[in-house]
Parts: sequence; C-alpha cells; structure tokens
Amino acid sequence: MANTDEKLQKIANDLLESGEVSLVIGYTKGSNPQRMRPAFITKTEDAGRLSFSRYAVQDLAVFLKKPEVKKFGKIGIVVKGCDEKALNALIQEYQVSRDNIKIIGVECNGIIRQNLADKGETAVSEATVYDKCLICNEHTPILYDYLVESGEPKLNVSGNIKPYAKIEELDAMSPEEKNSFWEKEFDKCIKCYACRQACPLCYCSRCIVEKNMPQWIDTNLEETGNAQWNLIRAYHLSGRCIGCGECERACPVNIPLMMINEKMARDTYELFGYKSGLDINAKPVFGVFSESDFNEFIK
Amino acid sequence: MEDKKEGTVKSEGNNVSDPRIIAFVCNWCTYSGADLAGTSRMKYSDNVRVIKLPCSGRIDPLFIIEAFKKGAKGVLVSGCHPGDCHYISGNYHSRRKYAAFRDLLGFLGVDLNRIEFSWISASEGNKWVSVINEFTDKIKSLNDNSSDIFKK
Amino acid sequence: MARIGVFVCWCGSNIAGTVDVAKVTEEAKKVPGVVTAVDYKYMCSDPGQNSLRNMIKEQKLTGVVLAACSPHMHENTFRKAAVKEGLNPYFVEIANIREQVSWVHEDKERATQKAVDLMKMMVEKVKRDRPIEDVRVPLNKKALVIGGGISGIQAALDIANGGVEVLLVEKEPSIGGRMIQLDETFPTLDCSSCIMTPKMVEVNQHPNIKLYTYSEVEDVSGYIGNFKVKIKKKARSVVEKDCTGCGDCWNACPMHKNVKSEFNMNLSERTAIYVPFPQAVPLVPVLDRSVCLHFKKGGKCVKCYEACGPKCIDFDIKDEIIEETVGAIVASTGYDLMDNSLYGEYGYGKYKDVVSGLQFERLLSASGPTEGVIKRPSDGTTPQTIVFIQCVGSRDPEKGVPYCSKVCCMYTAKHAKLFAHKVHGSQSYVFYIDIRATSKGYEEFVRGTMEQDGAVYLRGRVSRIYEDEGKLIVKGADTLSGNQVEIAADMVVLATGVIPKKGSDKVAQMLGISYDKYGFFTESHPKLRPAESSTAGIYLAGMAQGPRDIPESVVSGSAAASKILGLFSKNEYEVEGTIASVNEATCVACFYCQRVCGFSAISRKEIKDRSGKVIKVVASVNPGLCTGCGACVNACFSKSIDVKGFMDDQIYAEIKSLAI
Repeated sequence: MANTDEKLQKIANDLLESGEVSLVIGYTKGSNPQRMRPAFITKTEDAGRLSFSRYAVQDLAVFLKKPEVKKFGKIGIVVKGCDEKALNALIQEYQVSRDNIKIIGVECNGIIRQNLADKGETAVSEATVYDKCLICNEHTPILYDYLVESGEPKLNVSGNIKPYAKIEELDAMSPEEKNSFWEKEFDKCIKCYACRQACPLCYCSRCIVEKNMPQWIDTNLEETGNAQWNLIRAYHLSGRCIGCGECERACPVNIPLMMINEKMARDTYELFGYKSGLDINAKPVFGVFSESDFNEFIK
Repeated sequence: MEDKKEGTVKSEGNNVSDPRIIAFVCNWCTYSGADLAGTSRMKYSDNVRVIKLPCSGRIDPLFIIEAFKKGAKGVLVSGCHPGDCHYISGNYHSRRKYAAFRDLLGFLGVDLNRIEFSWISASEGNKWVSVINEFTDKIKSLNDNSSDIFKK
Repeated sequence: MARIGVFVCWCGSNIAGTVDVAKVTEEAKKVPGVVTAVDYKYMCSDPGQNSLRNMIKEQKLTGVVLAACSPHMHENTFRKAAVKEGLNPYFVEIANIREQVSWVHEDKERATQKAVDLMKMMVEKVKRDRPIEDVRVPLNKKALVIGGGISGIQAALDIANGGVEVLLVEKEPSIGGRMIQLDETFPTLDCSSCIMTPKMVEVNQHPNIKLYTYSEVEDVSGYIGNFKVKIKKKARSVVEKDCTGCGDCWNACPMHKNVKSEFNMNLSERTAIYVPFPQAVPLVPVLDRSVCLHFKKGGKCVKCYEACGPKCIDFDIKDEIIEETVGAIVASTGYDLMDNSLYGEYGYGKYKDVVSGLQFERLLSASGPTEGVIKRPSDGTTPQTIVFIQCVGSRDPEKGVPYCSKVCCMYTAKHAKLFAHKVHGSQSYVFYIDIRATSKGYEEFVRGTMEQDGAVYLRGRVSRIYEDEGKLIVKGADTLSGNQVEIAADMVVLATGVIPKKGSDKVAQMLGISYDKYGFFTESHPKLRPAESSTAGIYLAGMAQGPRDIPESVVSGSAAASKILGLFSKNEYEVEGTIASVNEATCVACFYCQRVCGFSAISRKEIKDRSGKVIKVVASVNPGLCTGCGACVNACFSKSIDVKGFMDDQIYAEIKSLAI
C-alpha cells in the first residue's frame, strides 16, 4: 500500500509542479484509520497526503460538477474503475472535457462496506465488499493517463453470494406486492436530496424538483411526492447510472436506491445492448434509437 | 384566484367501473385518426379525454405520472407508426424512453395494465376505436384496490 | 388578468343533438378567468365569426376557446378572425367536442360532461398561452439543383427563366442523365436526343445558370433561405474556357481499348481523355486519371497535350472546392438499374447477348456503339428473334424489390416495336406479368406493338436461359395457355428494375431529408406535398423519388421550380412561431436535445463576458430549422427547453383540469 501511495503522490506532485493541472482530487487517510476522505491538493507540498486503500469508497467524480472545483480548469483526479465510468459518462455528456482532465486510475480489488469497516472489518472478501464490487468488470479503469497498480490480492468471487439478489425477488412479485415494498421504502424519504447531491451524473444546475412552473414533483412531505421524486430520479439516471452506489450510501434513511438503478441498468442492457460509461465515444442510449427497437409493448 | 372553483362538475365516479382515462396523442397521426373515427360516426367509450401534443416525441413520462397522480385510472400514449413520424424520428426516440420507463413503473409496483401505448395512423379510425374500447374494458376488469405509488 | 371568452358551437344538430350546448355554456361561465360564454348555431359561418370578433372587441378578451369541431377543420378560420381584432392567433384554442364527443358518443349527459371537461381543459391552456410571433427568415434568392438529368434540367431552366440564379451540379462529365442515353421515347417515338439536346444547350447558355459538371455537392449546412453548400469540382485536367471540343486530344489518346464506356453501358470502349457522347454539354473532355498513362506511368505520355491546339490540357489541375450560399435546393439525383446478376438463371454477364434495357437503348441509338444498327454484342450479327423479359427485379420481394418500376412495360413495348421497324421479318417475344400502360396514348402504343408489329406477348415467367449452338434457349411458362414455352432467341433483353442512384442515401443524409427503405427520397406528404422533402427549402424531382416516366419527371422538375419561385417571390420566409426556446440560465449543455433533434436545429452557443472569455455554453435553437416537435423538451432533464404553443405548464394545467 505504501508503494501505491508513493506512486500517487509522485504523480500528483509532478502534475502540479509542471502546471499540467492546478488541482488534484484524491483520497487521504481519515482520522479513523478505516475511513478515507477526499483530499483537494493544490500545492506540491501537500501531495504527500494522498493515499488509497480498500476503504476509499467515495466516487470523487462527483466533485467535478461543483463550480468551486470547475474553476480550477485543469484537474487531476484519482479514480477507481467504477468511478472512472462516471468520468466517461460526463465526457460523453459534455460536462467534462477530456483535454482538461488527467485521470489517475488506481486498480481496485473491492471496497469494504463502510458499515463493516466501521465495525473493524479489514479483510477484502466476497462477504465484506459492496455488491457493485462483485459484478465489477473494471477493476482496472477503462481510461486513464496514469495507472497505479494495486498491491492487493485479487478479489475472489465464488458466486455463492448473489449481488443485488433482491431485484429478482421483486421481479417475481405481483404489482401489489412490489407496491407495498416500495411504499414502505419511499415512506421513509425525507426529500433531503442527498442521493442527488452524491451522484456524479446529477449535474443539472437546476434540478427538476426545484422547477415550479409547473411543479412536476410535489415537494411537500407526502408520499405521492416521495414516490414521484424517487421515480423521476431513477428515470433520469436510466441508461446513465454507472453504479457507483453513492446515492444509496448517502441516503440517511437507507432506501435501497441501487436496486432501482441496477434494475434499470440491466434492462437498458437487455433492451438496447448499452452499458453506461464504457466508452467516451459512444452515443448515450437515450440520445439515439434504432428502427428495430423493442416494439412489443406497443399496440 | 384561478383555481377557486376547481372541479365543480363531476358526474363521473373515480372508480374502475367508470374510470377516467387520459390519452396523450400526437397531432398528425393519432389525433387525425380519432378525427376520422368521429367523421365516420364510430361509437366508442366516453371515458377518454384527449390531450393533443405535436408529436409523441413531446409526450414526456412526466405527463404520464401526473395523469396518474391526478386520478386517471388509465393512461394511453399514442403516436404515428414507426417510419411515419411527421417529424421523422420523434416516435423512435420516445419509444426507447417508454420502453425503459415502463419497466421502471412496473418495478416500482404500478400495474402495467393501466398504461397503454399504441401507434395509430390518420387512416386508422377503427383502430383508435378498438384501442380505446379494449383499454377501457381492461381497466374496468382490474381490481380496484388501487393503492399505488401515486395515490395514498 | 385573463379575460377568456368561450364560444360553444352547435354545428347545427351535429353537436347540439348529442351535447347540451347550453349546459356547456353555463359551465364555462363558472370557470375562473372566463368573462363571457355564448353558444351559437354555426360558429364558422360569417355571423358566427362576427360574433367572435365583436366579443373580442367589446369584452377586451385576451383569449378565446371554441368548443366546436376538430382544430384540423377550423382552427385557422378562427385564428384569422381573431387576428382581425388584434388578438395574437395563438390565443385561440379549440375544444374538439364534435369529432371527439358528439359524433362518437350517444349518452347525452355523459357526452355533455365530456364536452365540459374538454372546454375547461382548453380554458386552462389558453390562460397560459403566450403571444407567439412567427419567425421571419431572410432568403438568399439563389437555388441549387443536384443532378442534371431531365428533371434537374427542367427545374433549373424553369427557375432560371423565372429570373433566379441557379447552380446546377452534375456528377458526370456531361448533363443529360439517363434520358440522353435513350433512343426514341414512348409513346410518340420522338428521338430522345433530338428533344433533349436543345434543353441541354439552353442550360449551358442560360445567363442565370451556373453549370458545374464533373462536380459533386460535398457538404450542405444551414436551413431554408440560407444553405451553405460546398461543391467539389473534380479535376478535369482540361481548362474549360479554352477548350473548343475539337476532339484532337481524344483522337491522340493511346488508351482507346480496355476502358469501357459508361455512357454506352460497357458496350464500347472509350479513351482516357474523352467526352461521354458527341452531344455532351459542355463539350469539354474529361481526363480519367484512373486510366491515363500520364498518371499511371509517371508523366511520360503527353500525347493529348501535344495534339491540343489551344494547349488547354493541364495535368496539374487540382480538385477545387466552391462555396456558395443558396436559399433552396432541388434534389434530383436520378436512378440506377438493379444488378442483373441477381438472376443467375437468365445468364446476364455469362452470355453476351443477354442485355439490360438500357444496353438495348444504346444498341438502338444512332449515337451508340453500333450506330443504330441492332447487332449482337457477341458476334455483331443482326438478331432475328429477341425475347424481352419484364419485371426483372421489380415486383419480386424475394430477390428484387416489391415495387413496380413503372417504365418497363412501356419501354419493352417500344423496344419490340423499334426492333420490328429496324429488322424486317424479325420476331419478338415478351414475357410479362401484367401490362401497365396507364398514361395518355400508352395502351394504344402497347396494342400497336402487339397487333401491328407482331410482338408475341406471353404472360408468365422465364425459368431458365442457356446457350445452345449460338442460340439462347429461353424456357418459360405461358400461364394463359398453361403451356411450357421454349424459344430459341438470338438476343434476350431484360427489363431490369429501377433503384435509386448509388449514393443517394448519402445525399439524403447530407441534406437532412428522409428516404425510404429502398433509398428513394420521401415526400413531405405523399399526396398533398409531393414536391417537398421533409426539410423546409429542399425540394424533390425525378426518379430520385421513385420510378416515373419522362413526362412525370419533367412535371416534377417544374413543380419543384414553381415551389422555389413561389418561395422566392417574397423577401422573407415565415416560419410558424411554435418552436423551441432555451432557458439559458438553467441549461447545462448536456446536448441531449441536440441528439434527439431530427432537424439539426440545436447548436452550441457560447456566452461570453465583456472581455470575450467564454463563461458558459448553452444549447441554442435555430428558428429556421426547428419544427416545434418538442422531442428536445422530452430529452431535457432540467426542463431548460420548452416548445411554444405546447409549453410544459400548459400541459400540466390541462392534466390538472382533468383531475378527478
């Protein structure tokens, strides 16, 4: 690990020193040794703070939408494979220019669930990492300017644990059963919009929920508006979500948002053969069509 | 001021035996198809209320949600057949969105029998009639404990 | 403050018979914002319209709702009436209580309720209408015609004669297209080049026509009134202004074998420097660099240069890009024939004496490879028996195309007739499926071929052709007599199906016009707007739209021209103002709107501060291209784009009015 950190620090140092970037976003060790926190490095002397570990859960790409980050212009960013897909999607949607970004990719072999890490879990295993790690095909980022190899052992996936198993369970339910499941979940929503704030792809400067001419989404605290908010959030991310899971992690009332996101990711792949964030040159799935698109549901 | 007398006349009940159905249709094909049904004096179920848009490409899933929220028991979305879009590709783009949106609604527990999509051309007055009648009958056949994510 | 008037039409008993119009009127009066509501027998009549106008004036109405027939019937009528009283036309909304209520429902109480609902819905909409001004686009009064066949020539001449400048761009070295390849034309047997060459010359000499041959349109951007076009003038290697067309160069060219003449459908050879045919316009040769020895052998051969008196041959000329701005475009790119080799059983390509219809035209033509004497390509002898096969590729969904190529019945009859005239005592057989001879003089023409010229028509298909002792043995069925037929022929002519010109799909994509699955350009409306493409300012002509004969092609060229002259009769083009507009404050420039726009109407706009630094990029709508379909609104996550006339808040209010 020390080796990984040194490499990261050197890359950041060189990028800042040469003036290629004026900000490097990365991770640094938290006060709790089993937590990492984001670090914003603008001076070479601070580059030594950079670090990476199995606790680096945050998707740092989310910061790229912030005006206070944007103003730095050229930015270096430390990303895991999953987070890097967010970068790709942002490039596809013209929110980030490839020319303005230095991608410092790190190999990742799974991130320990934060709740387990907080309880002292230190081992990366099938049982301790996030579901997204179990289905991950991008342990090495797809696109990078620098790649920092991981010294960690590969994550062994036996297949005994089914990621996002609840999706299939729900798929098999009747509309009434599904409804009562979600009714309970959405009942908890307090419309804090943390899911939106944590999402690297929710970059609108004015979210639709803040639009009041007309007010498509009720903002009062009744369930209709809750359901509507969660439905529209998921719809806006359909075919775009790259599965970093930050929305679910941010949710203070633990709504299983990744179930919806993953379900939509699976369906858009099944219907249109598209997975988000894999190719900066690909056209987003809802920006194109095919004449032979799925038509069976239409009379 | 504007909304002071909202909904003063109601003879329809909001139950599946007499359901409110809202249809979002494109101006060029389906609206004209419905006009043809009219000029041909075909008779069909009077539960439907039509909202005209320029193109099915303009029919936003937000409208569908809003219609359900406002008490519609059924929502129909209808445009030109693939290849016939007055605006070349509006219906192709919306078809993609509807396919995904429909999946999402289903996953969140909305009974998909309550939402219908169709392609009806300007010459298909008879299809308009059968789509409306069949959809109305289908809604009427649903069981009416309509607890869904839009209604409490 | 909204002051809305509601006008409930009886339409005689058409509405009033099923809908309680008095009740609708009473309910209208209760709707907030409605200051007056009346019902009347016929709103569309003059007294009806006058009452509308008077009410607008007296009651100072800010908007009106007509509960009447479909907006497709009388929306325009009522808008015009409202405009006369100074109301913006888009403050007129129609509640369709005839086609959607009285004509389709029977229960009067429920029909009335529905009529009330629709009326209220439109009141809510009209309250949220904004004045919409139609957009005026300035027009560059210059036209571009792509394709110099008969339809393109006709379009160019008509436009030019109307006093408008025309650029005519032709890919081949000469204009004339397919028609100039034909011998005599049905049903009057005028010689094609006799009626065509005067038109070609007129094009060349017309002061309003700029002719670009051996040139291609490379790029088109912009919109009606303001298309920016790039024309690639391919290197001809001959200085056009100095050339006299004397022919010394091509006579001197050593490459007089092995290069097949495209014009003669590969039935003869041409030189490397050549004119495709003697009446070519312009009569200026083209040096085909792909076969010229000068280019193939490192500059050694200069025979043509030496032979040229005015010294106008220049081996160093390069492709040239010409940029022009035009206000309207005619796409008349023409057609090709299907690939006959799809029909292996007919032996095309294997037997020299199995030829296509266009090849036979060249054999008939006095300017053709045989100087008008019909000779077999294999041995040069004159055939005594010819079998003509119709519908080769056409009306054959399995191997060819399902549509009818329209001209083959007639040109086959013509071929058989001309064969009889040129070779006395000869015999022709025609295999057909149906005879389609539907224009003026056509049926009589085919009858004449059968009855006076003795062609034997056999209804049925040919199954196989093979060679036997110098004869082509044609085996087929005569389905009328039920017999199998076997004919020993000297030649076989295939009436091959018509397909769009190769590359026409690329042209359509460049122009942003729609085309069908075969590649034919599609009309804006198949019946009512047959000369217009799906894109404003781009018109269609000739076989590029689908199979048609010469008179139809000429008519379509003239139709496109008259559309353009009509367009150019004003200084500005008016576009309906119901188009999209962007809220630049909230647009985040994700450009999903641009991705879904079928009309390339969305572009990037940079917002700069005073020092010229770009502070923001947003989407921007080009009013000349936007059609107001609204697909962009659906694509916009933050609803930063909306379409006038169907704004989000209006739709929301309509839905809300239906709350139950």
